[in-house]
Amino acid sequence: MNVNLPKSINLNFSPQVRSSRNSVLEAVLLLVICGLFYWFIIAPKMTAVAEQKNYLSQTQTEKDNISGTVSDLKKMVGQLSAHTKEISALDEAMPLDAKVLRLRLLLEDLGQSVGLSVGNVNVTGNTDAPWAGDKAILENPYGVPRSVQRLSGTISAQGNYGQVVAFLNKIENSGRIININSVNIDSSADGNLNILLTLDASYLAPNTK
Amino acid sequence: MAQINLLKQTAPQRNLWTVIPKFFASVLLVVLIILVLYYGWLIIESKKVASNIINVQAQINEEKKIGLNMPKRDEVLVRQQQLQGINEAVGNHLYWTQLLPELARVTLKSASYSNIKVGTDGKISMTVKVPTIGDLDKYLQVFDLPAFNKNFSDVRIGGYYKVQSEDNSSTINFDVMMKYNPDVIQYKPDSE
Repeated sequence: MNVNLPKSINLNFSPQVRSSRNSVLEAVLLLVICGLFYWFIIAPKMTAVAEQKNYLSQTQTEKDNISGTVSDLKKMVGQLSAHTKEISALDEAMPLDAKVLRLRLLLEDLGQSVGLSVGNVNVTGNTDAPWAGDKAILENPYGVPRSVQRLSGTISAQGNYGQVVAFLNKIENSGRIININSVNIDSSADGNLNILLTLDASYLAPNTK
Repeated sequence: MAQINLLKQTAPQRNLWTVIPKFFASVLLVVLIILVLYYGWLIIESKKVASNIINVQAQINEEKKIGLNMPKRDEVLVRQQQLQGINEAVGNHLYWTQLLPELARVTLKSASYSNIKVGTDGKISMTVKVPTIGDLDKYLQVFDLPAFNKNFSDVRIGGYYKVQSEDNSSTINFDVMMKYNPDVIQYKPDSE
């Protein structure tokens, strides 16, 4: 049986079907373009902008903190000159120098003020620091880095119980902060008490070079 | 003759399969335009934020400069350090005068101390004198009473011996070691 097939087959789609096919193609293409554009261009940019905003917020916080600190500093500088008494008390409680002799004199004075007979007083501190004439500190006393250091010492004295207690009380409530680390009380032959105190006192010393 | 209507009776059928892709393509086109606009906004926003960062950093540098060059700044810092040191020292400050009355309170009236050594380690060692062995026993019994052993504990005797004095009277001398409550020598606001 012979079948004659035409040389070209015409599917004969209607124009409507062709238009529909184009629209589907367009939609798919647009979807791909939108996806790629979002994934490779917009999303990284969004992340970058979010990071920038985060950094801006951190920087803003830092700026606010610094502004607050500067403002506090201004206030404190203003208060310095208005509180000379308090500053003197600070210097008495924790001096800015290691004047060993001043602590020794203070202990002797405190003992004598309550009628104790003061014996040996030994005070030692940082032996590397100059005792006087440190030009760098004299020129710029507040410009050098400092740290809290200690002077330590012992004091022996003789007196009755009341005087000993009064002396301890004076040391405890002295403007200069003195810590008693040990108390040794002995009775002596004349009925008095011998006391030996080991103590220390802090000062804000310039760091030795 | 019957009239023949050559026009089609019905409009061409609008198939859903032709309408939906077109609508979808239009929507996607709008989305693409929005995305492009959004990208443009992101670029502008990025530049704005970068500019703000530069401004804020400049302000920070300016504030730092003001702070660093402020007269008396160094003194303020030293005073702050001083205050910090003082607060620490005051926190550790001990009040030995609070210990002696407490020790006297728990001591038998007939006993007397000839030597007292107290350190910050919470230990006291003393040499005590009492008239008789019975008094030594009473001296120790005091520390078993709750009213008296609140601040003193672990009382140990190093050894006791009789001492004859020139007027033929005798005393019992002994060495005592005990622990004390470190709170006794801490600052108490009402002790002033």
